Amino acid sequence: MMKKTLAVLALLSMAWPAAASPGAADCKPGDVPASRYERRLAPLTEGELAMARTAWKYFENNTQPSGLANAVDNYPSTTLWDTASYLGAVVSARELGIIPAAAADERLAKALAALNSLSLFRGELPNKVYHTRTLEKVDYANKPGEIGFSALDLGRLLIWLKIVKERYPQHADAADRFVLRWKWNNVVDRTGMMFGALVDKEGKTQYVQEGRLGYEEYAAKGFQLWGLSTELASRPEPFATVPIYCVEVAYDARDPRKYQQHNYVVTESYALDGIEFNWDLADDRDTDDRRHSHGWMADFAHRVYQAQENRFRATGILTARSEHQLEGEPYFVYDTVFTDGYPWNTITESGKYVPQFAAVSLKAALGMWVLWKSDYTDRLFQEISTRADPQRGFMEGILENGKGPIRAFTANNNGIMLQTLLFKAQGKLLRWGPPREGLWERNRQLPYAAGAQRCTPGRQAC
Amino acid sequence: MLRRTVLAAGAAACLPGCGVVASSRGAAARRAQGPSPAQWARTAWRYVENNTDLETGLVSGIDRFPTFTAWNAGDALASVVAAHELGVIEAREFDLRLSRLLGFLAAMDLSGGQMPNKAYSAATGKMVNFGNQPEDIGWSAVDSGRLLLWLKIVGQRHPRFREYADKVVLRWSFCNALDACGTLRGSVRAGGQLQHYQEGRYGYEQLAAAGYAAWGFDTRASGPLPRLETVNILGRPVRYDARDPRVTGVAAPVLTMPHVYLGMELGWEPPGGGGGFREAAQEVFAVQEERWRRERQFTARSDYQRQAAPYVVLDSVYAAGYPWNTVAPDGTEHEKLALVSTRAAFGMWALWPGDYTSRLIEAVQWLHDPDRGWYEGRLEAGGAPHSTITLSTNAAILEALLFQSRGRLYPAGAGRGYFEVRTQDVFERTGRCLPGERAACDAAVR
Repeated sequence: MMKKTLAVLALLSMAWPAAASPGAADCKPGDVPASRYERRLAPLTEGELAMARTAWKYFENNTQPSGLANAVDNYPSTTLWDTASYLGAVVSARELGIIPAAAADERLAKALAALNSLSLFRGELPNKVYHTRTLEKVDYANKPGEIGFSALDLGRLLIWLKIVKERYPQHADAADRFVLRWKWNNVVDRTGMMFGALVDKEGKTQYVQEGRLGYEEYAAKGFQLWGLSTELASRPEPFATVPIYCVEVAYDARDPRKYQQHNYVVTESYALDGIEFNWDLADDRDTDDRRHSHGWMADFAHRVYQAQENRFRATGILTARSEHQLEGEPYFVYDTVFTDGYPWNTITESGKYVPQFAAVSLKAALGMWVLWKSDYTDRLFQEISTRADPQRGFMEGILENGKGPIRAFTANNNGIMLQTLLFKAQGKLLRWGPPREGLWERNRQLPYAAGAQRCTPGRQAC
Repeated sequence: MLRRTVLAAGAAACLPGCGVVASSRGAAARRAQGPSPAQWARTAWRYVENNTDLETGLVSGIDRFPTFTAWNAGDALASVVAAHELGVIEAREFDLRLSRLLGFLAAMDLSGGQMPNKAYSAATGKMVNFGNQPEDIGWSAVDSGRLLLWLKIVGQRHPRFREYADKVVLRWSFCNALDACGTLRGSVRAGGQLQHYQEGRYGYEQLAAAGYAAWGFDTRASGPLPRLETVNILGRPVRYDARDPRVTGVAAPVLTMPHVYLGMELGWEPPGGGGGFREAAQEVFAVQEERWRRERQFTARSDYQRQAAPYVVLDSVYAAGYPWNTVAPDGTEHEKLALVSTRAAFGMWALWPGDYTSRLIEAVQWLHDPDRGWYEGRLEAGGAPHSTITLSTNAAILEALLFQSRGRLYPAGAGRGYFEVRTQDVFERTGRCLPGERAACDAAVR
């Protein structure tokens, strides 16, 4: 995931986390009670609505006249992943009655117009990062430049474009127009594997398989929603499992030392799949949320949850792990249930072990609270529900080592928290509208005038 | 165990029929195709013959490099005992070689006057550093543990030497080498500064602790299996030391040899050492056999030595988060140095007779120079021999052959000897923290 290397601000702490070693937990090997927990599906309470308003505050502050929102508070830069979180925030704020429908429509129209005006990476697909004021392609330092594209970020964006389309068909054409510009065959190949792009030292584009277990299959659903086959990306294989507090937690078996991609297992990908898809297959139109047609995804999600609850039971450490922002160097960490060989590993993008940044991630905790109704998630909710600055939104997390909250504010954290609250009120966020024949449906069938340069689903010859 | 003094490792289980193994089905077939076990033993012994200093009677740790460690001193005792009992050398040669070794050990300089230095010169008998220059560099509690166990085995198997083995141990001072509960502590001396550090990880820690326990020390902190965590490798659970190398900076690999030594020397029932060793060793063996079964790669992983950096390779079943990880003691990865270890192959063959270990022996049986001894092994990448020749490997092969013909090497039970008489004399304490002079382990504090 590319988005996160943005942010700013800081203060470093070098404390050791409380002993976090799998000791003898009071758990039974193989037992995953979480698979029997209910979800929290109910109208929001006043307090929960107030939380949604607080989270929305972030977007009031950070939406630019361009139509896009900053990924990190006051820093005019964003990725497509974070833009998806912004779209999710707008949909949620509208549905929860925080903003009127007209205001939401205006925001969605402006955001889609901005997307339509983006210059693509080498004319292929959206660049990893854009300046939110100028809409220029930029690098992670927010300086003008083309750096490649991220399949995971685009996959999540496709999910939210689809949700917007299905809920509000008046925006469908704008969304379609945007994605009709993409060179789809550069991001998903004919075997259904996803590729990101980067620029090598000679300035040449390198296409690199992107995505690891959890995120990979989640993002692939975005492409599926737009009609692509993601056969290899959607398979959970290759995976292995590691026993963590009685739970066999699945992780991607591709070796991070060989492939330069961390195989992090975190809450976020599974929680997003849960609230947006109900752990259903991408094209599942069944409205009964008690059934999960994407069986292994639900199973793996339960395990990731259970390992965290069991850790709390064994050690007393509140645990809700995700990738998260920091106020200062290194600005961003993968704070995991497992990655790169170790349970409870907290690493930087480069793989450095930084346990001092282990934290309860607010978006992860809230996702766990809504998807698994338990005493443990009550505790988590209690811990996080007031961790906000009413002027800025919810904070990123609370450090495990007792050094207090991480006072970083991001579109991803606040957007996902809003979405999560909407899930509580409405259930599965992907609400199918009536089938319709739109710009996308009409044009994707047609050969492009320029001949095979652009490739859209339905065209076998690419 | 040369510089690898900061390891740790495991325990084991056993297939039906292993443990005290006599001959096995494949033996006749193997003999028909290649050298016999007797020839294997003579080849290993050749190393000792070549590398025994005529003046001192001491044996070098690496072929033609005149340094040895306390671990190697244990290797030398093991080699001499095994060569004799296997009929490679006669009683007179055995007696004289063993006498010279024990005579040296009873008179050698000690690091800080306490414990055996990490290295000695085989030519002069003086304490040296790893560059073979005279220096007191500190002791390894793990290496000394192996030496202690072999001093005990020598005295038990050959009672006429027991008195002299006892006298070696009575000279040492244990005050700083292990605490009241048996936590092992190495020392390092550099620039006039002496520092102690906890030494030993899963496997070698328990093997070393058995050496201390055999002499009556309380080793509850190092003898039983340490706190372990579990990883799945090829669908099998494999346990590893919970002490985290990212935090401690100390590698904690899962290796074959400590489990093999614990099996051959102690029948996986170390003195003073808790249970579960047989199951732990079985786990380490079975996952390697499974790798052969699934991937058709010969697998016999352990630590081994090289004559260029990295001098010690921890060629692991599991280390630092990854299965089949090959690292140096500093944690750097050396994937290309993965080895089919000759001594691990022999140890597994002796302890787990069967189809896989017969194939392993076939794969390594020519990895030797008949005039110099057994090589360390064969690189997994391509099969080239790794032709460093060491005392540890040749001694381990002799041990494996002795175990194969006689069973467990450490005989249980022995009456009072000089050591007991001396340490039980409450009116004449040694002042060296020997058993009986030590504070009781306050387990509640730990």
